[in-house]
Amino acid sequence: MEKKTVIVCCASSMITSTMAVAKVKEIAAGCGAPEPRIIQCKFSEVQGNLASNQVDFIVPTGKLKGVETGDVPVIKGTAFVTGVGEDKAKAEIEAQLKA
Amino acid sequence: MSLNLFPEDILLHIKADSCEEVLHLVSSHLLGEGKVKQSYEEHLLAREEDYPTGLALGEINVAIPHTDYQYANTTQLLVATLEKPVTWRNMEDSDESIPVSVVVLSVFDKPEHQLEALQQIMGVLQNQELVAQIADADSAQQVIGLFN
Repeated sequence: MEKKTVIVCCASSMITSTMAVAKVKEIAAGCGAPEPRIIQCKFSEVQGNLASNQVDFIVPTGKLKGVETGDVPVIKGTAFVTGVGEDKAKAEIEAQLKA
Repeated sequence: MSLNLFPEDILLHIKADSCEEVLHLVSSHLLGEGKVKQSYEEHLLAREEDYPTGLALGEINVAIPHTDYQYANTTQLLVATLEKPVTWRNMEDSDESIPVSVVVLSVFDKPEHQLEALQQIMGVLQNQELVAQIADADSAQQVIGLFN
């Protein structure tokens, strides 16, 4: 399994994305995937980070508006804040980490 | 860990007709206590407008408004329960609105060390039974007990 690069983002890059970052690391450890390189940033910085990094997938905790993500998969991370639908989001991230 | 949650910042069954009114009430309350700066309300509202914080949790929904640390003088929570639910935009999809009954405002003046407190809060909020008890609570001590 290759080490992945993941953008985890929210409005301020402090509160909800921090919760999602902890989850992504936990998922990686739990499924035996190498801990990914995580770029934690604000929604407004996603486009720039996509341009300057080879990003494998994006985990936003809210709706990513006005960002051209191309073919980079986007997995909603709101579940890591609300707990609603967490298993599904977890499975999607695990699949991406193991891809 | 014990959360910074004080009886004077537990506002029970407040009357408000909109999300903006709730944010105004809680900001004024904190400003009166000197816990936030004058500009806190403006930034809290702007932030909510751009990036809403309503969480669709099930039957009873919660909002977790917050803004950048520069506008606060302390790190703590404020909890407001609403006499009747107000319409709040959904964090997951800002084009969607949900009725919110409980507001947990996270005030912080340092960006770090938020994770543990947040995980503890969300651990509580993800439990609908506890959220229902918070929404119905008639004393600040009861709310503090439910969070800890």
